[in-house]
Amino acid sequence: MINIKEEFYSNFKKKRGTIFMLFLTLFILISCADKPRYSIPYEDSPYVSPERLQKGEKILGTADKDARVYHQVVTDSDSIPLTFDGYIIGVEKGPKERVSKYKRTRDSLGEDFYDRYLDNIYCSHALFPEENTVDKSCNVPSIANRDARLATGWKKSTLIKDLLQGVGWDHEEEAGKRHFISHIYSYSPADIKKSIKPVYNVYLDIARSHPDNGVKEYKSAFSAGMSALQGALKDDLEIRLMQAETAGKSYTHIFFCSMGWNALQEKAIGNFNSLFEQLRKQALKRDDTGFRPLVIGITWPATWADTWYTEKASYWNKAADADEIGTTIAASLLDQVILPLKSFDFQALDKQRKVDVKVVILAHSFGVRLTSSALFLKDLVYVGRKPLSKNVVDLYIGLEGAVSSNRFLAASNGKKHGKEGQPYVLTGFPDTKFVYTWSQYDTANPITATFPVKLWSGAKHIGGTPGFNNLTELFEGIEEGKKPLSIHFSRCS
Amino acid sequence: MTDKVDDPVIFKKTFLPTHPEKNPSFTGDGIRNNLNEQDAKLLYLDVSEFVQTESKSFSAAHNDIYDAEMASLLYEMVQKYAKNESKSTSQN
Repeated sequence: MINIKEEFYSNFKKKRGTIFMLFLTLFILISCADKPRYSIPYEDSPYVSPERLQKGEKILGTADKDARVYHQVVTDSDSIPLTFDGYIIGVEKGPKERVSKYKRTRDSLGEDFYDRYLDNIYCSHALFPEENTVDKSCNVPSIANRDARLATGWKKSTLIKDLLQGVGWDHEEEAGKRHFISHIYSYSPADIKKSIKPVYNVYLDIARSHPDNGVKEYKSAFSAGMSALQGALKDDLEIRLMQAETAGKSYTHIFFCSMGWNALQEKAIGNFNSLFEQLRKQALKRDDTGFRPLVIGITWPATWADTWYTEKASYWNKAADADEIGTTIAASLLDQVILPLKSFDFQALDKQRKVDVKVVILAHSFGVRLTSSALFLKDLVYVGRKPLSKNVVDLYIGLEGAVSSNRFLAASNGKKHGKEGQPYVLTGFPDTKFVYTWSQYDTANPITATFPVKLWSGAKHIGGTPGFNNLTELFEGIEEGKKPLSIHFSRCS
Repeated sequence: MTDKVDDPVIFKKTFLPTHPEKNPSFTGDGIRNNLNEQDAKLLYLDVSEFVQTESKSFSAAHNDIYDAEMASLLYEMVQKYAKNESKSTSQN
């Protein structure tokens, strides 16, 4: 017995190195297997640990499970990718004090702050109050002066309430939050090596710039996201267009898309894929092999999906969110990035020719509200910042829009109508072909015009029958010759 | 939270069931005829012929916009109002 023990210990001593290595290998394998995969690094850096991503999430207030679903493409390499050439621009929402230089100093600005803010609301400085100042010298265009806004009822808009008081009606947790771009991912399904490529990722930026654990805020998140639009994304787009041209596979259309209420990021991307897969089939059905869309989809925190009742109660909050994102981030994306591409020339290729691409906006539900606000109000938002792009969106398609039909027309007698004002008449209709759809079987959009919800909202959404009836009545009430635009109303017999 | 599937088109079908049986005789001609109103700045289009999904839940609204009928209309609108003449190979 003693001999057996001695022999065992003797063998153990001889092989303990091997045994140690076996246990070490086993430990490493188990450790790796238990952790989720975070396998999407910047091109110039290797993997980033989950701990570092989580640190950014905590700083930006996006760490809980309900917030993480809006940067799922960052945290989950198994999430559904965009299956067409294009980009996903991930917008999230975090406490203003943590994600920007915003401070609540309204009182110190005086009693007339609200009016002064209104007078400057369309100046870029006012929309992006990083330093919390109101620039009195801002060149407000005459059409956007206070009287014009009061006449159109835009003063009551959710946007201004949102910008002044924080997002939301009276939900304390939501008050004081601001939307920011947290990530921009590029998708090239045909490229095996770089089918998914991060163009911008605030979580990785935080991990890089603040490696220690003491940092509790990242006030550059908002401005860095806006800079990424006009910098990294624009550069990437230009290179992409040039490469496509060189390869003889240039894009025919740039589609800017947004989905609506209660669409989580993964669901929104799935819906983009479904729309464009069907479009591709329709093109092939007609032997249109040249149809090559480049898809730019924006995803945003579109739901309080905790319970069925919080999901429903989020209507007012998410309606305001769609307007806020539309008039800030999406307006900038359109005006500063997408539309200038139409006049981008291929100097690097030594070709005296410009990009020949059409721009189409395609949106659904609250995405219609988001993109309509971006398109109609972008020229006011960016006055005073940079020269506006003279290029136009060729076609706007709003599917079953969850935006009040009152926004599109001011009554001929000057009477205000609706609770959302008539903001879209401020600038007149852009030189774009507009198509909005409605259906008599749409049972979701009419709810806001139905008792008791109409007591709080009253919005006659353009996607349903109340919107159609309302817009028809308004349009017919305007004298001939004074109609601000031509509308063709379609009703199936 | 949703289950994952590989095919994004199936993904749509998994979560967004549609009800084509409501209008089996749909041809789309009525809607297409309205596209001829080229002069109108805003075309306010009745798509009741194929957007018919009843929704007791906001989140499941308008599921049929992801079906072939809507795609056909979308493609025709793109060709009519935003056709890229220099690149498209469509004969429309």
